[in-house]
Amino acid sequence: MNLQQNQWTDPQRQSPAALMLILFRVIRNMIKTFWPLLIIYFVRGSRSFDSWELILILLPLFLFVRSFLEFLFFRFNISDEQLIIRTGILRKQTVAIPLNRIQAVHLEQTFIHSLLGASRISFDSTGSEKVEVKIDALKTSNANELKDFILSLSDTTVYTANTPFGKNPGYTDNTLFGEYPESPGNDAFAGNATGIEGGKVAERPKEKALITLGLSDLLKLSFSSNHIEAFFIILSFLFSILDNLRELIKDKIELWADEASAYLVAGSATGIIFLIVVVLVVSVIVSTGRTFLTYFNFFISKTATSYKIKSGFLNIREKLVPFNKIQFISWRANFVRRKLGIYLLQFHSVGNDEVKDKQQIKIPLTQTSFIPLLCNEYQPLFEDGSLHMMNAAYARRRLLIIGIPLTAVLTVVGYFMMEWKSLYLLLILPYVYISARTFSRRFRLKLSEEALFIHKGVWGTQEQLLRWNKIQKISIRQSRYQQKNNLANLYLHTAGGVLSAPFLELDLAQRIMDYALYKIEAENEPWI
Amino acid sequence: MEFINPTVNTDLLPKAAGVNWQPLEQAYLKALRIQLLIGSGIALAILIIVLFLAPISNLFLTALLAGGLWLIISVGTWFLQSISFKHKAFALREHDILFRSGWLFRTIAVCPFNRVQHCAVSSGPIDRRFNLASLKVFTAGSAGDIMIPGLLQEKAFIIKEFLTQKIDSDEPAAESMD
Repeated sequence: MNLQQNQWTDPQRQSPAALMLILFRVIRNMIKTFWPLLIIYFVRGSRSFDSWELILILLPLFLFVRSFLEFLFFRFNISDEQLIIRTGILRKQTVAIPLNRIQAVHLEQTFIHSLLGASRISFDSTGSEKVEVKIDALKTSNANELKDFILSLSDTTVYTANTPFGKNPGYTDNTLFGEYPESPGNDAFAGNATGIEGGKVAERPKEKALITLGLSDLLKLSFSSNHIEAFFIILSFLFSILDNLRELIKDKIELWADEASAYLVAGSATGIIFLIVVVLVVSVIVSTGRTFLTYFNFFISKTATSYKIKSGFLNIREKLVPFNKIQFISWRANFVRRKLGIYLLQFHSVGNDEVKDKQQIKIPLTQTSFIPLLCNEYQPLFEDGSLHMMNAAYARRRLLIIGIPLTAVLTVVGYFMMEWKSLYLLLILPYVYISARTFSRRFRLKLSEEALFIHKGVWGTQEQLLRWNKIQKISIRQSRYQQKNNLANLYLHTAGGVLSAPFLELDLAQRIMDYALYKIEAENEPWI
Repeated sequence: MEFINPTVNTDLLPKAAGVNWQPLEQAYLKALRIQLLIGSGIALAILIIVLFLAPISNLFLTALLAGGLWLIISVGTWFLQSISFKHKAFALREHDILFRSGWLFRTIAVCPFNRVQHCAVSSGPIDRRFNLASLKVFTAGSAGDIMIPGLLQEKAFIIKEFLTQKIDSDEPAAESMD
């Protein structure tokens, strides 16, 4: 394809749909940030034009003008085999990615995108570039053309995320694998089912559906999710409302609070039970809602080179995970889910830092037999290999370094607030010790020629699978106590996060370090 | 053998912990102390200004406590710097770079050359006064960079050049994709 003759050579802006998206975002962010003020404004029922109105008009106007200017100054083009994106109003920034570095192209379509007939296009590249490269809104057909064009010039073997956004996958049974049905298509993206191999446009192979979630799976996930977390979300939400409203409608709030407390005192035990039941029911409803919003129509499929994960109710998220970008795999379960055999699996790809990690799609597995299915492309689970535990001193040290100082401070502070009742806080000591002891007893480190496997957890469980060749840096850390007792913490840094194994025998930690270096340096197997 | 590995005798593998460590330049300790003196001086000046301006009822006692705390932190840092300086060292092997640091918490970090993305040499005004520089080795790993301070500037650039050649010859990950 001749670069000089394509429609992407000249710098160009995003689709006008981006302006609508900007407007939507400004309004959404305004409501999200200032909703307590908006409530106060309407509750006050002020009729005269005052500073409130001025703020409500000027702030979104300013934000929109700024976003509009950002839209005007955002330009992209393809030149000299590079994708070039220029941004910035006053401080200009230019990001240039060589096309042969582009690993994957993602198309995303939120609810607003689908209304506007636009898609977001983002790019994954190799190397340590931390900059997220994306074009927020392009007409869907243009986005497809750009994706195909970029991939046709790319040297890498990449299959793109040709997503069925508009339609649901249509699989409502529990799980489908063994027999792989064809991935459902989509009208919006029809005719673009192509992949690129060796720089040539090739017919994309049919995707193999691995896992879908049905209604019963979603319910299982909902009821086993962390209701305590949901409870605290509700609590913090309520506190933030009260905090924001307190100053301006103090009298009304106090009146409501008085009425509520009078009702509770009158009802006494019945009132408390009622409150607990209400909180419990609301927590379960919130957890269920969150689970359905996140995992509705969950679908994971497999192409020749990557996994495609899609889920979501209003905002459909689709993530393409090329096999070679997976740095390590982890799966975890809370106490209830561990008993039920439900896990959340995560592919830790290149560039997953802690913040981004929260936005990653976690794959819900309702049967433990799915785990090897999703690990096989990366590293088959291994039964053989040497098994190691951590030193039992871990529990004693946790008690000494965390348990005792924490309990001492809390108990002393607690004494001034609740006198002798603060002695109940001494129960923290056995809790810290039992937790640490359980953690050290359950910890397992399994080593094989090709990979290592870590199993840990106190009440719940977390497992991590790492291939030696994915390690970027290894470090051994010793406190003074560990130096005297020949113990060490081992840290394995990958491009997808850090794995740690605390309180190993120093000799073992050093041997693991030496073996990992041998695997990385002698075999020189690529990590991506 | 505890560490099961049918093809490789791990006992015969080169030991990363047993390398010949190269200490940092002695001038680096002087640079650290000057930095500490400047930092402590600024902290003391701020402390004095706050004590004079703030409406404190028992000025003498507050000044005594704050001054004592300042002295303990400054002197403590001085001694900790001296002790930890002795433990800081680096080593270059055929295939990797190692850095050792810390006294209370001793750390050994190793980065293989075929995982290095790029490296950089930097030096601040005090470093330049002593002809010193820091070498930073970047990997794609999360918290996976290694920084070796207190090198002579010429030495830092020689190591950087050596690493750059190594990166090229070892085919970095990005190139291995092509």
